[in-house]
Amino acid sequence: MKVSAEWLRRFVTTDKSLEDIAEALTTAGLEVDEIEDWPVPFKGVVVASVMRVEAHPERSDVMICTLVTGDGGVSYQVVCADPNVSAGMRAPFAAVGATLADGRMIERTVIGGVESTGMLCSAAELGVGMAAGGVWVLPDDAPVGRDFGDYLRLPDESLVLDLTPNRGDCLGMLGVAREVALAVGSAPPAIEQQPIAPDHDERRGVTLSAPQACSVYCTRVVTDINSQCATPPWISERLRRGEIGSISGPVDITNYVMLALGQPMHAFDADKLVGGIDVRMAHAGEPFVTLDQQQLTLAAETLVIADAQGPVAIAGVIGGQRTAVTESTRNIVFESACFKPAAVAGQGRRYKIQTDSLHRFERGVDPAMAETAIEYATALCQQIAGGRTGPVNRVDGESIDAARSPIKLDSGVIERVLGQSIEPEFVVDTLKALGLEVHQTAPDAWSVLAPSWRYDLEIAADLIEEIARVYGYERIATQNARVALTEPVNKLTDPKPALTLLVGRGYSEIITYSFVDSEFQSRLLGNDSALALDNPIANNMDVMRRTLWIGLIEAYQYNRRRDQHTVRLYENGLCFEPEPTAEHGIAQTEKVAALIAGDATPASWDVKARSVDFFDAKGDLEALLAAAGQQQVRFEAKEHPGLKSGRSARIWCADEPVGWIGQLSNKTLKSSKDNNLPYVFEVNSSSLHPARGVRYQQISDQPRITRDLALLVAEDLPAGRLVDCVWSNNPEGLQTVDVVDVYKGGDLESGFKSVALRLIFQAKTSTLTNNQVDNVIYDITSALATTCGAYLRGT
Amino acid sequence: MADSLEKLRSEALASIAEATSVEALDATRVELVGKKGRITQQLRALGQMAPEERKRLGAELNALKQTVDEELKNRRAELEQAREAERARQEVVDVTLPGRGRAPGARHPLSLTRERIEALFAQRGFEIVHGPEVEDDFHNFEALNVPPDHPARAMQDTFYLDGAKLLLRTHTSPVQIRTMTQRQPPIRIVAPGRVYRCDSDRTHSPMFHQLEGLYVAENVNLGQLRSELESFLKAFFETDLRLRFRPSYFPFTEPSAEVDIDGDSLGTGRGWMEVLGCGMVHPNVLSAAGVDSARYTGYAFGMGIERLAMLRYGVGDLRQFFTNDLRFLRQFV
Repeated sequence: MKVSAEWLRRFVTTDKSLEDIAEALTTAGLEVDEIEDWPVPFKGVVVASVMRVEAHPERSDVMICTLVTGDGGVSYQVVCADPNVSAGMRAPFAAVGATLADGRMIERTVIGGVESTGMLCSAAELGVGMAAGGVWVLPDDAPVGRDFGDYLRLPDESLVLDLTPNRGDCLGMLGVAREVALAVGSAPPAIEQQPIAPDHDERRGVTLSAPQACSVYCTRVVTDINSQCATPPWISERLRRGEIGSISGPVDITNYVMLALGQPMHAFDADKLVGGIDVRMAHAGEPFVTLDQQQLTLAAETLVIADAQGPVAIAGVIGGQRTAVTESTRNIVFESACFKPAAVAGQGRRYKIQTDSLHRFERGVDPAMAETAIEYATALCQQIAGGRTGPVNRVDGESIDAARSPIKLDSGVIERVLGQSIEPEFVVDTLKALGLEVHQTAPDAWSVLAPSWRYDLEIAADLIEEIARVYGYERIATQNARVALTEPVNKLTDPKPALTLLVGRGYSEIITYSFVDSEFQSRLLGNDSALALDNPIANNMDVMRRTLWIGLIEAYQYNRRRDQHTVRLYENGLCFEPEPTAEHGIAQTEKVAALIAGDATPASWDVKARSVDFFDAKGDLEALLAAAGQQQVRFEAKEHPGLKSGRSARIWCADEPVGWIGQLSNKTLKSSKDNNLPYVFEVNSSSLHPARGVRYQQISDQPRITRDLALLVAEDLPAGRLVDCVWSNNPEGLQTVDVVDVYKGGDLESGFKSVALRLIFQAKTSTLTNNQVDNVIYDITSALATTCGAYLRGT
Repeated sequence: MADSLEKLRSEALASIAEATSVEALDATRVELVGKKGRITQQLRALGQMAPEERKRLGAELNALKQTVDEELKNRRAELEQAREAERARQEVVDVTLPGRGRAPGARHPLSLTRERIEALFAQRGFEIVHGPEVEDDFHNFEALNVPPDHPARAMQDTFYLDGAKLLLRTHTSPVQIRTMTQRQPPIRIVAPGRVYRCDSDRTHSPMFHQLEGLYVAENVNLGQLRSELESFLKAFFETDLRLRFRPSYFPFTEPSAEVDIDGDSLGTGRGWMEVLGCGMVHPNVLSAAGVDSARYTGYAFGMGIERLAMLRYGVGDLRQFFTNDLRFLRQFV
């Protein structure tokens, strides 16, 4: 909502500057975003009266006009091309030396041998109108000789208000003026519109078939108007400063009344309305063509204004083309109604229409304003377009006032919410100044009725806010809460400490969108079971992510294009997977994923760079899981649709699969040449915060015995199988098993490899003897031979 | 003999002086006074000599040996010192060469900001809770006093899923409802997380982060809310900022306020800047979540983590947070 200062000051008398008014409004809860300047876009332009229009002696496309700019003053001769210029009309005149909106200075010219000493201007040339029409025809009462800026009430400023949806009452000058008066302490604005006596009895029949949707419906027939009348500049200018374009006299009047009073209005061409008016629900499937020629098919939930031939308007939203006022319209029907918010709500979305009228009805229009508005519009119409007026035809539906019930308020509840008491006198004065009816029911207790224009005042809390905002939030004393602490319900489950470890190992955290490209995700995960958005913001962000890898890959590619080749990234966030047993059928699982590419060790003065491989990624992941206290981590070689064959594994913690690790495949990245593709891993965050805490193990002071076993095994036997086999019989005193060497080729028989295991034994309490260890080793080597086909080398 | 003794003496001293390493000196020592050394042999030969001769020559030889031993010792000390010095010289490292290994990465500035906010509220007794990002209409709108077709819905362009049965939460406020329906007051929580709105330009991202706060108990009031947020903002920005509470509107709070901070007091200029929204929890919200609004009152607040991060780090463009450019990320260590 933009509020012209010039106009505002006609509603509120105050000597406060506009800056002070803006500050006071903002403090009272009507946020002023900015103060917009409306400068005079031209210089030296005055109102002129055209005395004579004569033909040019040589040229037929121009005329010679003689005009005056003051009583008994000099006359000017202007050569003009606009055929509409006629003797007796008034128009803005730029004499030699004047400047137009585009900065052009008017000079003396000679056209076809005739001297021209100025220019009659259009609104566009003066920078105050969009229309590229001809010379601006001013009303006959425009004062000749008057500075044209003055005449347009320029310069001006406007307040740009960022209104909250509860303040529909401020979508008109009157409502804003009420708030300004309260904020600066001036008298509240008064609207005095005397009823216009009818010239005749003509009225249009109205049936209110949907009384639940419309509380007041007023119409008035005005006959014999001049639809081609010029809208007076004071109206078109106020519309312009309210960001509404000037269309035609009758339409400008309805828009002006809306801006002034907040009451949307409509004008029908009376001669195109067939029969009486019915305010009814639409018949499902009924066709309707809007003013702006959109062809709609109406739904049964839509309230319409209809005549004998069908809908002529969607109530409170937009009029129809069939009954639109045009230049040839002679008789009109003004409509001023109060449609209930519930009756228009959702219609904008349904038909993809947003209008100033709908905006106001959705938020609630004052039912008491309908008649005032139609009287005001009639008065303006008589003044501008003439015509003969009929009586106001008012039909009432279900009252909105009846829905308003008294609100109980007392000092105690105010103090309870604000934390401090407010003087009862201040409470009563404030509520009354806001237009509320206040009845005292007990000492410091009241029954309060909100005014018809305030739909947002329903409960005591609403009134407390009104009192607090007028009192000033800043004046409410701060105090420290005496906080009652409670047993925390949530465990500390943030995987933060583990993530800090990743940062220490060179990873940078990224944050990517939770919606990804469905095509890419299907390619990466092998199917497209992802949750799709109904209204994605872009084609390549159409489904919810099931993996964090997509964001990581995109960030990797982004950085690579910027010459960042060594990349270590991680992300932590939710992934979304259809899961019938979860709430809403969607498992929302927090995961941690990482990607590495480029050099494992950066090239430096004494280290040669080495490219990352599987074991760099695995080492980091193992460190991550170890830092989170996971002890039973297992990697199972397993194919994954997005990972390179033979270089991917499923990650297990205890008996639960928690994620995947591997190298991205060429197919995934749609890359044919890059053979050093990134490695990625992803685990559920739950694996990074195991449920149980650490239990201390007694440290043994007994000597340690180390045994190395060099085993000859089939080349494709996973080393992990050997380690598992060693542990399988729970050997006495065995502390650790490590793979210390893997060797292929050389003197080994083809198809075999050598794996060296280092076993460390240590008893908890007594010293192990070599003999005991020998026996254990014997059992282990036997098991290795039978289950893994592994034999000690050199035996 | 005297001549040869003198020769032995000068040769011995010369060879000691010529030894350039401890090892060479050892060899010289063996050659002179070792078991088969020249001086040792001469001393051994004394036994076959006449007593007179033995006495005279013995004294001279012993004196010579003493001198040689002395010189060996001195020379050894010299050489050892030189060797130490050489070793020390060899061990010198160029301390200006870069250390080995990988530089650390960096946390995302939004995570750092979120953790800072969480830590400040945790100090004040708030528990950190989380909620789902795919939500339903009840938790995201209806229970928050935003019925269908409420104009406030237009303030938040919503992403819908599954034929509008589900949605991506447009704010962290649903966590209020989830928490209040699960337990009774006193409740003192903050809920950080991702939120989504169907809007993207220089100042809007379709995904961003909020942190919601809720305190519901007996005797909770607006004065306490002001104090709570004032303390938080001053601690967060580490300066005694000027701020103002401005009446505003949210469907789920009444009275409602927005908090602006004075850019001049923060050192960023630009006048008043909105940083968060807050208010007293609307009685309808308490009721929808099963909390007795006659007994309890509460306050709630919500802030944009991006907004606070932008002000704290001087980042001008919201979109920077989501490009994940390493040159940007690495600045926030």
